[in-house]
Amino acid sequence: MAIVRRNILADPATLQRFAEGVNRLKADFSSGVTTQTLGFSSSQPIPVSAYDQFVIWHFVAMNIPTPDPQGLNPRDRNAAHRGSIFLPWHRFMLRLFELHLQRVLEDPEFGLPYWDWAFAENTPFDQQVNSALWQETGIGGSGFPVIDGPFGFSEDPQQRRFAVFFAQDLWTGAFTFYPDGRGLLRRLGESSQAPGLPTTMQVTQALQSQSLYDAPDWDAASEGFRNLLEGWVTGAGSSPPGLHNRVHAWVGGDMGVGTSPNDPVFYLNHCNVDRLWEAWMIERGRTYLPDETSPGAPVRHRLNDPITSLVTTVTRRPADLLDVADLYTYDALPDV
Amino acid sequence: MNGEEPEGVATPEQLAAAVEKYRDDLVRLQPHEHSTESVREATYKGHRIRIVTTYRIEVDGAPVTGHLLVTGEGNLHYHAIPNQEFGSAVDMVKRIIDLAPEGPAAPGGEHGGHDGHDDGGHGDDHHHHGGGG
Repeated sequence: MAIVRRNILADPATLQRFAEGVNRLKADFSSGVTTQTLGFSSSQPIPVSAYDQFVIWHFVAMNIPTPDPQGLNPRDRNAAHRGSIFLPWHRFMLRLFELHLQRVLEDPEFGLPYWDWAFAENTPFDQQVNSALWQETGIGGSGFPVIDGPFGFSEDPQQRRFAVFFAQDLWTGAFTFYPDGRGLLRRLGESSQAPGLPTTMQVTQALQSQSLYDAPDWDAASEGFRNLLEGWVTGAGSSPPGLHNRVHAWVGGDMGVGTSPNDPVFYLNHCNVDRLWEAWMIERGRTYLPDETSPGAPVRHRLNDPITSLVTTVTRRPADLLDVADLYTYDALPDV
Repeated sequence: MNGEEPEGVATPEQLAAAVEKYRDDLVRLQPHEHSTESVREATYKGHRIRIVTTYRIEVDGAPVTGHLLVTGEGNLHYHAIPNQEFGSAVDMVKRIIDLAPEGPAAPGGEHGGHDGHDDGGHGDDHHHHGGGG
């Protein structure tokens, strides 16, 4: 029987379980993977948590370029972003993360919650920043480090609840390891490009305006629902970043870089993105483009191309990820 | 998906086995050279256009070396800021400054630290690997 993914703001118990599960995954070193396994040279290998293995997978995937059949990649499409694979890739990632949460929570019925981030038009920006999600009783607010909520940081390891160990360096783009851990960085609402979160009108516009999943050149300039939801293009009356991208930019800090899964809100954002995709497919049909016959379709983005991961040897294709109704449903879907 | 999931797909054993199976992908975590040029090409009225753009960026005298791309629309995409594009290089660098937890490593200088925290426990213990892609 399918599990149910719930609105985190409407279900405090689910929020608590999510936070508990995240912190248990942060403390789960049972795989035996270490920094040495990953290729870091150091005097003593450091264990890598199950949680951080997802951070590493995300970074690796976005550093795999995916050119078209002519070898061109003018908009920097990669194995997880800026292309058609964006939605199925993250659906696969979230499902695996959800299964690991179920494992550490010992609860096979636990569903990854979503954050319905859309606000009504003209909602004051300070109201968005002061939303219940960002309180001590939510997931904490801004800071470097974030000190409140279940993912707060303390210099005292005995008091510490959450720490970041792998992050992308903004100055070099390098993948960086912090052996002692550092706190989470958030800067809610401080992006000049994204002073506010997406609006409900923008969500409706995306759901209703696009009948095709994607289109050539299958990248960040394409027409289609995928690119609108990813946020490289926007509907009339707004400017990029849109929807998914806007949420990343609005939260800022660790959510703004290639190691964004460091902030657990990453999963809440992407769960809502997945939910919107699900709503669109229920209305438009469970279709996906490109397939192997589509002109200019890049490898790793086609219907039957395998998605590999650094957290399981099992692979999935976009074709396998279009219908997940037997696995999970959402407690509520937006109208399309 | 499609209602079928292998038993044990999300286990510690799978976490270990996946890293072993896809060990070649871990090279993405290691330092590598990437081009400092961004090339845009187009064909117009039978003419082939090729524009090569090179940026040399410094902040407080320290180089900013992450991979960046100029898109066909003329926007800048900095690979380490994967969710945004910028209309100007100055705006892009301002955003790097906004997002970076530490200041740039100026020649002979030090990294910045946490807000209100000393730098000592973190800034000197980094291990830097990998490139921006």
